[in-house]
Amino acid sequence: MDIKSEVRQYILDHHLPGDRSEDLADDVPLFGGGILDSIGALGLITFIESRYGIEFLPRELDLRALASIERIAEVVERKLADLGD
Amino acid sequence: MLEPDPVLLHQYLIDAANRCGQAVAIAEDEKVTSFELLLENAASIAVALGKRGLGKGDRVALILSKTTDAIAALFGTLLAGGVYVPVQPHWPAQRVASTLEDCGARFVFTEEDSALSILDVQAGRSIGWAEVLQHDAGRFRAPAVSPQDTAFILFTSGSTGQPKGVAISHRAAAAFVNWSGREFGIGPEDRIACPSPLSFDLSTFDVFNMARSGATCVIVPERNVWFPRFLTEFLHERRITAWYSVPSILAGMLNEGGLARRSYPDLRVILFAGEVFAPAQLARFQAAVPNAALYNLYGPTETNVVTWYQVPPGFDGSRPVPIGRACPYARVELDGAGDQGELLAGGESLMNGYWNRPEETAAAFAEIDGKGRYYRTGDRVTMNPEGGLVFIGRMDRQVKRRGFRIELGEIEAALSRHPAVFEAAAVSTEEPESGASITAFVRIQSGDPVSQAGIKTHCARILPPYMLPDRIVFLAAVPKGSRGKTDYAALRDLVPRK
Repeated sequence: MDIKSEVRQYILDHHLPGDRSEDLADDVPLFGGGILDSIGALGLITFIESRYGIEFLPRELDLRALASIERIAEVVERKLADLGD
Repeated sequence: MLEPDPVLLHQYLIDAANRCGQAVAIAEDEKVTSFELLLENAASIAVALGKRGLGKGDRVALILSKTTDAIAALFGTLLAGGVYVPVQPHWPAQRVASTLEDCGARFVFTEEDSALSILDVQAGRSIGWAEVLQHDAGRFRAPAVSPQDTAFILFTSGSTGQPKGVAISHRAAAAFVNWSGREFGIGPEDRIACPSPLSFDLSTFDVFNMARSGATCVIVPERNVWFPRFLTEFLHERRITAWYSVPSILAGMLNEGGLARRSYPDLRVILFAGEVFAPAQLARFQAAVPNAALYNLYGPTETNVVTWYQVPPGFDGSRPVPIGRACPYARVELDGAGDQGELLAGGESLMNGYWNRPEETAAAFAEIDGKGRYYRTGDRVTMNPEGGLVFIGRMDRQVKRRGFRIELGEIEAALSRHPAVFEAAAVSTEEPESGASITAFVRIQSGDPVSQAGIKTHCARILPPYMLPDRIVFLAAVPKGSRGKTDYAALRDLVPRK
C-alpha cells in the first residue's frame, strides 16, 4: 500500500475539494500551510488509525508529527514496523 | 476578620511564596515547581529586565506556549512593573511582527528547544536563560504599580483586518480572579487546569488562582489539547479538581474522547465560556461527570467574565443555557426595547481600552447617566425570569468558532491580499455536529489557475490557524443586493452541504 497516496487522497477529498494531486506535494506544510486545522487533524488521525490498524499515544501526537504527507508516512511506517516486531 | 484580597496580580505570588513556599505551584508533565522557586525565577527575570531598562508600563512580549517558564516570565514582567503581551508561537511570522510593532515591545521572550531566550529590542541583543538566573533575586525592589495600571494586553481579531490589543488592568483581572477563587472555593488542595493559551482571557483563571489560593496549576500539554481521548485521560490521571475551557473542548471529550467510560472522583467544578454550549450536549456532558458542578461564564475579552450561571442538577437540555446574572463586581444593562437588546457591561473588570486606538476605544464604550462607563458587547440578549440573561446572537459579523472569536472581515481582508483574488466574502454557517463553520467565497481572475491549497497557504501566512476558513468556494460572480452590497444571505445558501 502507498501510504502517501492514500493520505493525500484523504486530505484532497476532505479539505481541498476540486484540487488535483499535484496541488498537494509531499512536503507541503499541512498546518503551517493552513491545509488542516486542529479538527482536521483529529479527522486525519481517526482515518489513519482505522485504515492502518494502529493507535497513537499522547506523546507521539503533536502537530509536528503531522507536519506534511512525507512526515505522516514516516510516522505510520514506524508504527507499523513496531507492530510487526 | 478576613484580609482583603490583593489587587496587584504579582502580589498573589509573593503572598503564596511566603505562606506555602514549598507547595506545588505548577505541574507540567513530570516537572513540579514550588511557589518559592516560581517566585525566585520570576524575580530573577524581573531583575534582568529592570537592569536592562524596563520601565513601568513597558511591554514585554511572550512568544511562548503555556509552560512553567512562560508563567515565570509573566510574573517576572509584572514584578518589574511591565505589561505582558502573550503571542502564540505558531502565529504566522507577519502577524507576530505586526503585534510586536503595535505594542512597541521592549523585550521579547522566545523559546527554542524548550530553552527561553530574551531579546532586548533596544540593545539588539539576546539574553540567555542561564544569564538571567545568575542575578541575585534578593536585591530586587519592585517599582510602585497601581491597580489601574495595565497588566497585560490580549490581541483579538479586528474587523478591518488589523488585530486589536485589549489592555487589561491589574484591578480588572483581579476582580475576576478574587471572585472566581472565592465563589468556586479554590484552595490549596485544588489541581486546576485550563487548556487555553496565555493569549486568551480564560488563562487568567488558572494562572492567577493558582497563586491566589496556593493551588496547583496543572499544565495541559499543548500537543494534546485538540485530541479528546488524551484530554479525558489527562483529566482522570492528573486528578484535576477544577477545569475551565471552551465548550467545544468539553463536547469533544464527550463525543470522541470516551468521557463517560472513565470516572473523575476528584473533579468538582467545571467552568465553560467563549461560546454557546449546545443544550442537548451539555445535558449528556453533565450525566457523564455527575460529581462536578457546571457553570456557564460569559464575557468578551474586553470585560473578562461579567455574568455567570450554574447549570442545575439534572439539566434536561430542552432549552438554551442562560448566561445568567451579573458577577458581584460587574453591572449589566440592556440597550433596546422590551426585554431584548444589546448587552452593555460595566464594573470593575472592564478593559482600560484598546492599545493605541483612542477612537475605537471611545466607540466601544457607552456612558450611562449616573451609572458610569459600559462596554458595548455587540451581543444580543434577552431577559428570562428564571435564569437571568440568555444570549441570542450577534449584532455584527463577529462569529465564535470553537470558542475563538473571529471577525469575518479580517478573513476577507486577508483573502483580498492574494494577487489573483478580485473579491472575497466570508460567511459562517452552523452545522449540527461541529458547530460554526466558515466558508470563504472568492472571485478570481479568469484563466489564472488557483488551487484551494494555494489560497489556504496564502491565508496561513497572514491569519492565525484558528481564523482560517474551513473551505474555499470559487465563484464567477459574488451575489449582490440592490445597493451593490455583498448579499451574505444568498452566499449562505451557496455553502456546500456535507
